[in-house]
Amino acid sequence: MAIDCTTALELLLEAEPADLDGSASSELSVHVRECARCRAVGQELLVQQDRLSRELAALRPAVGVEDALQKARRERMRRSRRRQAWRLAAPLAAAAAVAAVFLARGPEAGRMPGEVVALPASRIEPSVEVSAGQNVMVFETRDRSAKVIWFY
Amino acid sequence: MPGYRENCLSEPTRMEEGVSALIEGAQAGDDGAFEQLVRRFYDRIYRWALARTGDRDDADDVTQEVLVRLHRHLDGFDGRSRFTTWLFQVTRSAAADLHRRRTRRARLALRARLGSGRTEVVDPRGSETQADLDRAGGLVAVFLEELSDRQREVFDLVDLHGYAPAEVGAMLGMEPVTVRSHLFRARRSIRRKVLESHPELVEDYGN
Ligand SMILES: [Zn+2]
Repeated sequence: MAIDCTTALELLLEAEPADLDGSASSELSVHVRECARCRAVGQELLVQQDRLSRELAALRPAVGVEDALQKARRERMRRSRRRQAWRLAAPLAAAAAVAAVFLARGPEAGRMPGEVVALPASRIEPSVEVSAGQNVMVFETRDRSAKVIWFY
Repeated sequence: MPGYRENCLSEPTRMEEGVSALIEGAQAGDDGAFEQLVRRFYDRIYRWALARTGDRDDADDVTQEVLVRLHRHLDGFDGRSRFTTWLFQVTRSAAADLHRRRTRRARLALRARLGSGRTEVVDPRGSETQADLDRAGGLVAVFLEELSDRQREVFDLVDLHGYAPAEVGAMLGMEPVTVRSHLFRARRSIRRKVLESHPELVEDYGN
């Protein structure tokens, strides 16, 4: 035997399953095949790992799959309602915030973020196109002299 | 122990059989296909969640959340990776989000208690979980309680489900050498426990 039992025991703590039952070609496997004591240890480690595997497999979810599916359906509906509400509320809140900034500065006071396009007064009614999936919000000052077109 | 290794090595491949038809159906809006897909992977999702969290109640919550996310994100699965690998990532991300929420909630609860003049810190994991663990076998308790999250995941995938360390490295975003290091530490904890409960096996070692 190339290795002694103390070394073999130390190696058994980290060894591959094939080494535990001596079916590999490593020094440890050779030792396990020839030494009854280490073979007994290797066997017990395999037996107990198998038992752990079965005990873990026996731990099941608290809720059965059919109930979980139903619960998930309800949750999806709840979230989708919440998202729809958000879709409406968010742009309104954002537009109100933009308007507040804009009005606080006054129409002549300063530059808005983004590009400022001056349009002739007669053409101030804009036609806005957005790509699919993009949203747009048009906001106008009380005297109708300026518009905020907000893409998000 | 022939059953042990046959089961174990074939699992990653076995799980994928016939799955692509179900995925295509579910992606096309067939609820029946979606439900079949869920039935097929439900226990697996729970087990991943359990290995990730080490807590049965948390694993239940994560599993439920994965079902909701699966429905929403299945369109994003493009078949470039194995479905199980993709589903595993969905599960891990749900577990990570739950962990973040729990930590935040615990922090807020603590702050609220401190604010109200009460200073005791309550373990967010309930006492029921502990009772469950005590009833479970000794090795299950070591697995859930003593291994780190990483050790538990790696050990579960490699030794209990037959994934190759390299594959687990890709799934967990770890170098193979790191996977091995977690695996060896997990094996040590589990196997030491086995030897502790069978002292007769090792009593005359070192003589
Ligand atoms: Zn020996």
